[in-house]
Amino acid sequence: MLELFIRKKKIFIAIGIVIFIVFSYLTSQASQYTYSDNSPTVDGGFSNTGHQDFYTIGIDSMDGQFTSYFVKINTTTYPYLYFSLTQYDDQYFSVNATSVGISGIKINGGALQSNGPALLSSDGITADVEIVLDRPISNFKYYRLGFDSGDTSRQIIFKGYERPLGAWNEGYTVAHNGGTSSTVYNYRIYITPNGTTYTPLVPTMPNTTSTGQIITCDSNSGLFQYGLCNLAVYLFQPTTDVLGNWESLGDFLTTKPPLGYFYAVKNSIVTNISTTTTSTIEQPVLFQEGDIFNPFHIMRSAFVWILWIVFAFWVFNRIRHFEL
Amino acid sequence: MITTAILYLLYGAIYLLTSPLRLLGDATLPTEMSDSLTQASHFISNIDFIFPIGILITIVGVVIGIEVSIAIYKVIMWVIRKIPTIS
Repeated sequence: MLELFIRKKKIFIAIGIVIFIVFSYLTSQASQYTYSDNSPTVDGGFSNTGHQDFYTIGIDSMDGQFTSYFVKINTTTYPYLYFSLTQYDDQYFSVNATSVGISGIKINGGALQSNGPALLSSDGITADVEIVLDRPISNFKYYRLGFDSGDTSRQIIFKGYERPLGAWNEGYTVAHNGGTSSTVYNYRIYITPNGTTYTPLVPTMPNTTSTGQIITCDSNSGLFQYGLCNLAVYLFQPTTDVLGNWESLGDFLTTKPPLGYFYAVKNSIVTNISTTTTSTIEQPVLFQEGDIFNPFHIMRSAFVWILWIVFAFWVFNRIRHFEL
Repeated sequence: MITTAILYLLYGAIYLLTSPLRLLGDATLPTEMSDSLTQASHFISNIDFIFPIGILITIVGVVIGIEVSIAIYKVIMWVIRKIPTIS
C-alpha cells in the first residue's frame, strides 16, 4: 500500500484535492441551508443593508423571560433593550443607534425604547437602524450583535443564525468587515407578530426544509422527485456528528503545536492591529471604511485577491512539481 | 451515507496521524514574544487598512505548515527505509 502510494502519489494527491473541494462545497451548501440548532423557529432578524457582507439573524428568544419566540418591548422586567456589539472574547463594544424609521419604537442613546403607545404582542416591527461604532473593530472577526437585557449581566438574548458570505457559525454572531470608530452600519430589524414566521432574505433550497443540520425533502414535490431528493440526502448529506468531528479537529489543530503557534502569532498580530490606536496614516475623511468607493477599500480588496491568487498559483506549482 | 463514511475515514486517518500531538500541551506564546508582537502590531497597523496583513500571515503560515509536513513525511519515510527488508 505504501509503495503504491509512493508510485501513484500524484494521483492520490489529485484525488485528495478533488475530494477536499467536493466536501468543502457540500459542507458549505449544507451550512448555507442550515439553521442553528437553537433556532427551530425564526421570528425576526437583522439584515445588513449597508455593507457587502450579507447576513441575517433570527430571533428565537426575546421576551422578558427569554423563553418565548417573540419579543415584547416595554415589558415590566425589561423596559428597554440595549443594542450591543460584543467581541468573541466578551470585550464589550457599546454602540450608538439612531434614527428608527417606525412609530412605536425608537432608539435613544443605544437603547431600544417604546415611543408612544406600548407595543402589543400582535405588532410587527420593521425598523431601519443606524449604528455608529464608538471604537474600531477587527477585520473579518465575529461579533455578537443584538439586543441585551440592559441589566448588569448584560445577557445576550438575541440568538439565531447567520450566513456571512456562505460560512456558518454558531448563533447570535455576526461577521464584520472591520470598522473605524466612525463607521456607520445600517441594519434592518424584523420583529414579526407572534406566530408569524420570518422569511430570511437568503436563497432556500427548493423543495427542502432545514431543521438543525438535517435537510428534509418536500413530500408534495412528487414521488419521483421526493424519492430522488431523499436518496441524495441519504447518500451525500453528512451527519451532524461527522461535521462536529471535523470542527473539533480544526479546533484541535489550531491549539496544538506546530500549527497552534502560527495561529497564536496570527491572532496576536491581528487582534493587536485591530485594537491599536497609534496609526499615523489617516484615511481621508471623504471616505468611510466599508464604502465601496473608498480607494483604500478597493486597494485592500485587490490585495486580498492578489494574495489568494498567488497562494493558489503556489499550490498548483507545488503539486505539479511534487516529489517525495 | 457515502459522504459520511468517507468523512469518517478521512477523519480517522487524520486523527491517527495527529494523535501524537494530543500528548502536547496547548501552544502558547512566551510573554516576551507576545509583547514584541504587540509592539510590531503598532507599526503594522499603519498599513493594515490598505494591505491585509492577517491574510498574508495566514497564507505564510499555511505554506510553512505544508512544507513542514512534507519535510516530516520525508524524515519518516527515510527512517522506514532504513529498516531491513523495506526498500
